Formats: sequence, C-alpha cells, structure tokens
Amino acid sequence: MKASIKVWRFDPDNGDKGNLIQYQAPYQEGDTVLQALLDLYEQEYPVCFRFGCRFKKCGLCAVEINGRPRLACRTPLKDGLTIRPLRALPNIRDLVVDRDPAFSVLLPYQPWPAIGEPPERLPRLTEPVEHQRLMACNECLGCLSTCPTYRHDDPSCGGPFQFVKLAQAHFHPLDRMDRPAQARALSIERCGSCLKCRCLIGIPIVKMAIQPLLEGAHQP
Amino acid sequence: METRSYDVIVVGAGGAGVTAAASAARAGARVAILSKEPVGCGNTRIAYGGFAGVGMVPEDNPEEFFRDIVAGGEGLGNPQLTRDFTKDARKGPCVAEGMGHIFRRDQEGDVKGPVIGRAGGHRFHRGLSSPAQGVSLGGMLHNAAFGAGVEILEEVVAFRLMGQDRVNGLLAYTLRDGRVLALNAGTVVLACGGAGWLFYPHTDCVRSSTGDGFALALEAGAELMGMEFLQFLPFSVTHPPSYTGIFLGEPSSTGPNGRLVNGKGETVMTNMMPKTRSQVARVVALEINAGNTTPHGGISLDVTPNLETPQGRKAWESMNATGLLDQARLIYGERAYRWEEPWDVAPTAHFSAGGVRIDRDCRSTIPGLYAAGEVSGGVHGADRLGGTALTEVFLFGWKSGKRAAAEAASLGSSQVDSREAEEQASRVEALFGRKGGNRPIALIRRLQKVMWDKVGVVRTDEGLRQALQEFDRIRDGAQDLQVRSGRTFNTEVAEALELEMMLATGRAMAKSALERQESRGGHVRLDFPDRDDARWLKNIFVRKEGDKLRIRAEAVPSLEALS
Repeated sequence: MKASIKVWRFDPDNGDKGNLIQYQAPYQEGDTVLQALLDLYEQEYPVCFRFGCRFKKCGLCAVEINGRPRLACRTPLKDGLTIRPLRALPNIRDLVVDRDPAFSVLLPYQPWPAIGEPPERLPRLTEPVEHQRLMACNECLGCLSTCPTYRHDDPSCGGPFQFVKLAQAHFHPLDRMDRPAQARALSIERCGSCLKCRCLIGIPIVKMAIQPLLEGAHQP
Repeated sequence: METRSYDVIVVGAGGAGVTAAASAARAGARVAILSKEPVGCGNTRIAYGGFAGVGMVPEDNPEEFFRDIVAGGEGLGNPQLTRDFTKDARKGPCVAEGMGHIFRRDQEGDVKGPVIGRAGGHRFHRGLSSPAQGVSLGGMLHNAAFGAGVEILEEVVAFRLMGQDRVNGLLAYTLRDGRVLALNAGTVVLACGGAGWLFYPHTDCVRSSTGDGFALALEAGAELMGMEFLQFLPFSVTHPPSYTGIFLGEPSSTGPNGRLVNGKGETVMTNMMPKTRSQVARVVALEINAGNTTPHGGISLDVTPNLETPQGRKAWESMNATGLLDQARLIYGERAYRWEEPWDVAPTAHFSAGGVRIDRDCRSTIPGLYAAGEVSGGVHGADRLGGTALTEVFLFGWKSGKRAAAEAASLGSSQVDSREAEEQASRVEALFGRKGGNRPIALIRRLQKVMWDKVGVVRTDEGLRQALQEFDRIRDGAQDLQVRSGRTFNTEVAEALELEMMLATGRAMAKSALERQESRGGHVRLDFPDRDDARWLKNIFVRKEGDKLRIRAEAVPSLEALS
C-alpha cells in the first residue's frame, strides 16, 4: 500500500525557492509520518528532516502537517497529508529549520539557575506543580508556529516557547531573577487576550507560563 | 581550513557531555562542546529517568550497593571504578541539582520514602525520579550548556581525533554548511554515549548513538573493554514498525504477578521483579530464537494477573503515577495500559556496558583523552542495574571535566598536524557529489541488520564470523559511495562518516563477542550457553594495532590488588 503525501523541498544550494513535491510513501498499518519520511529517505529521495527518539521525547521531528505543527513521530500517516517545516523559524533545507533564534533571544535573560559546586545534600524543597509540568517541554518549538505574533528576527518579541523557558526559571524554587519583568521586555503584554498558542504535548502554556508571568505573581 | 583552539573539547552534549563541559568551564578552562544533535537531545533526555542514589533506607550503604553492582554485572566490572562509583553515588543527584534539576520530593519536600523506586537487581530502594522523566533532565542540560559559558558547536560530527603520542585536538564536519573544522585542544573528553543505533530499529536509543566515541578512541590508539556487553532491555514494542524497539519496561515494571508466556502458550518466567535486565532479556530472546513467538514476532508479557492481587494493583498505581505506562497506552491502547490484556514484547538494545577503558580520573589509555558516561567502560561489567547510568553520567561527567581542565591548564598550546588535517579534509571533500553505487544509508541499514541478526541478543561463533565478513563487504561497498552534492545540511556526508565509525565499533563488538566463549550478562552465546567462571572471570580488551584489532583477555583485578 502507498500513501500519497506532499513534502516541502527546499535546496538553498541550488538557488531554489522551494516547493511541495508529491510522493508515494510506502504504507503499513500504524505507520507514522516520521516512518514515511524515513522510508522516503531510504528510497532515494534524500529529504532532510531532524529526528532522534521516535517517541515524542527528543522534540526534533516537529514539522507542520496540513498546516498545524505536529511531532512527525506521533502523527499517523494518511493519504493526502502535506508536510512543511515549522513556519515560525527560518527554513534551512527541506523540513529543517534554524532553531538558534528561538534560543538566542533568551540568552540575555539567562533563564536558568547559576551553576555552582554540587550541594552536599539535596535540599528540602517543594517543586511547584507548574515547574513539574513546564519541565516536560521537549523544546520541539512547535508552539511558536501557533503564535500569531511571534517573530524570530525581533529581539523584543518572545513567543510561547520563550515564555515557557522564562516560566520554568520563574517557578524554580532557587531562582531569584525577576522573570515577569523579562517577559515584559519580550512583549508578553500582547498575549493579553490571545489564547491561540498550543503545546504539541499538552503543556497548558497560557495557564502555567503566560498568565503567571503576565500577572507577575512571585513564586512561593 | 578553519582552526580554533580550546583548553578542553567535549564530544557529546547529553548528560555526560554537558556536565563535563560545565565542570571544565567552572575550573577555568576555555571549553567547546560538540554535538551531533541540538544540545541536550541525547539518551539522557529520552530516559525514563530513574536515577540511582544510595543510602535512602537505613539498611543501605555504599558497600551494599557495591555488592549489587558486582552481582548484576556478574563480576566483570573494574572493582576500583565500581567502588568509586558506589562511594560517590550519593553525590550524583547533587551534581544534577547543582545544575538546575529538581528530583521528585515527598510531601515534606524530602527525597525519601515512597518517592524512591527500586529497579531490577537492586536489593534496596535507590531510584530517584523526576516528574517529567528524562525530558526535564534534557531541558536542564540545554539551559546548563548556555549557562556554563562554553562554546556550543551544534550539529557537527567529530570524525577524527588528532595527535601522535597524545590527543591534541580533533576534526569535525559541520552539517550546517558542509565544512571541516580543525579544533586544537589540550585535552578531549569523549562523552558521546553508546552504540544502540547500530541495532536500529531494535533499539530505544536516539539516532545519534552510532558508537562514534568507541571508534574515535580506537583510531586514536586507546583501549576499549567489555565491548561484547550490550545491554538489551527485555521489553520493547514489537509493532507497528514505526515503534519497533521503543521502551516498554524492565523487570521491575512487570508487577509481582506478571509472567512471560511464549507463542505456544507456555509460561516461561514468573517473579521477574527482582531479576536483572539481562536475566529476563535472555529468556525472551531464547524463546524468540527458538521460534516460539506471537504473530508479531515477540512473546507475551502477561501483566493481567496483577489485577487479581492487591500488590499487583498497587504496582500498577505506582507505575501509572510515574508515567511508566505512557508508551503502552499510546502504542498498544487503553486495555494494554490498564493491564487488562498482555503486551507483545521483544528485547531492545539499550546500553553499551563496555567502552573506553578509563582510570579513576576518567583518563583513557592515551594521554590527553578522557571518557565519561556510556562511552566509557568498567563501572558495571556484563550488565547494568537500572538507574545507574544517569548517576554515572553526572558523577563521572563532573569529574572528567574537572580533571581534563586541570591537565589542560598544565600544558602549553596544542596544534593539530595541519598536513594530516588537510588530508582528512580533502577525503571529506571528495565525498560531496560522489557518483558511486551505494548510498551511505543503504550500507548503514545493512550494517544494522547484520548487527541485530548476528551480534544481537543471541550469538554464535558462526554468526559472529558471518557478521565480520559482512562488515568487510560493507566496507568495500563504502569505497563506492553515492553522495549528493550541496553544502547545506548534507546528511549523506555525515552518514558516510558515521558509517566508518559504526563499522569500527561493530567490529570491536563482534570480535570481543567471538572471543568470549561463555554466556554472561548481556552476552548470550548459543554455543556456550553457560557462565564459565573458571575460564572467563576476565575482561576482554580491544585495541587497534596498524590495521588490525588486537584482542586480549585479562583476569578481573581484585580490589586488594588495586589498592
């Protein structure tokens, strides 16, 4: 059996602008889109894509499928799918995007606790439930493609991924920086009534990252 | 050719790599960290996240932990390394939390009591866990790499260590723009994990675990040990093909009443919880090898009897709370998740128990070269207990970075040989647009097939020799590669380089497995089915001499002899 899919091909070395190419991917019951890409790659179309673990943890295989960001490893293969790179980030080749801008915009804010000598023993502490949930972020960057206003080339404009990272730090019991202020520097106020961002693996971004940063609630 | 200089270069950016880089930078070194993937996307990130500590219950202490590792590793660990590991194991979680991680706490905020788990082969509860499993470690590692003040070189393939009598740098291929970089270094730390991907799709490891570190070390003249010991987990997904090999569990996740049933309906194992991974994987593998399989080619892990006992139902509750049932739910469905129907399971390649031979300071047998984490060998032996890999990664990662930085500080500047670097670079250059008959991916798939069929869970003299012959044919095929042109993200050039390293690693594994004429831990020989302590309480070492691999066996040193 075959599944007919369209895959975005873009070869910057040929001065090409990129286009969708139709392929007949081998299909077996239970196949994922990632499997189709692997099959195509083996069958003489060296289409470029990232992947790592084949089961939703590495976050590397996020692409847009029929216009919505998805993990290729968790999306069933079907006839008629269109597979494109994440629109929010610069396209490098085929389905591969440049992930760097998503991280570099955060560097001035150091959204992590300082690394010290290891403590002698594990301190008694309470990990807020928000931190537990937010640390499940697999950094797939798919959420950026659900944000109507994120711009990777504007250092004063964060998106859901950046706010998740700031919120991870905000809810870390040992963090001491003013993360809500940093979120304001990344224009979080524009999130106000927009509830469009979605996490591919179900982290409640608005409730656990954006609202707490907007409200400036300090961690316990 | 672009050349850059550092005090310490760390190859690999999972748990061991980022930890080594952070500790080297903290010690004042100029550090570069090289990663084939984006940082933090190694096997640490995709681990279930069990993290062994010690002394969480009053009866437990480092000495007891030492005994468990020796028993689990069936006597083949290096006792000094195992002793260091168990003595310091308490600090492993502290290293991770010092970098920003948070382990699961109880209601009072302590790491004790019900939040501590117990994997197969441990006599005491030692397993710390994390609410978001390894993913939270991966995110923390990514943060820590940024926070450590190190230079991050992402999506580059280190393909050759440089230097004659000591390692003084390396060469790396950049996926982003198809160049070769020459990187000078006082010391190099290999922290690039194991060889699980040599068995794809029968592995739960990430795509980047192609055994590069073993091949790099061999080529540099360093000695490897225990390469015949690849740990197969007993339980992974058999179908659909997209998910073949994905982790389903280990012995402790079978519940007190779980049983293994072969394709003929015969119960072949019960009471698996206290057993080691290899003890159970062997039974599964032998049944499959004998053809007693389910229609999907696995055997049946019947977890349903657990629902009939209070202890069994409690086991389900605690597994469900830690997310250990996610894979079963998403791949096999609701009934499988609820233990209302048996699971189809087969072994999967999980961990390279052997690796680069190191001393107590993580130094390899070649000056200037260090190794930490899965790429190193010696702590475990013939098998590994659950949760100990992550502890090792942070403990030895931290130590190796510190030591590598101290040594680099004592050296003058290093310079890789430019003539050799140019030669290697033109060899890579010649790959672009080559119009031969074999695509690298096709040869890689052939290698993976023969690894699984002949160097996998069950082995024979004949099969291992056939594997070595197939490696020769694949190597010959690699003389005639077909590679696309183009600089940007040329994955085929990267695969050509990986293929060379996979061949070297596969060969070291097969040769070591051929040498060991017994069955022990993760190494199962159909033609030598028993453990043979009289002949084989030995470590097998492998080293490259000229073009040949030289194998030797040496008695496991006693602790007394070492101290």
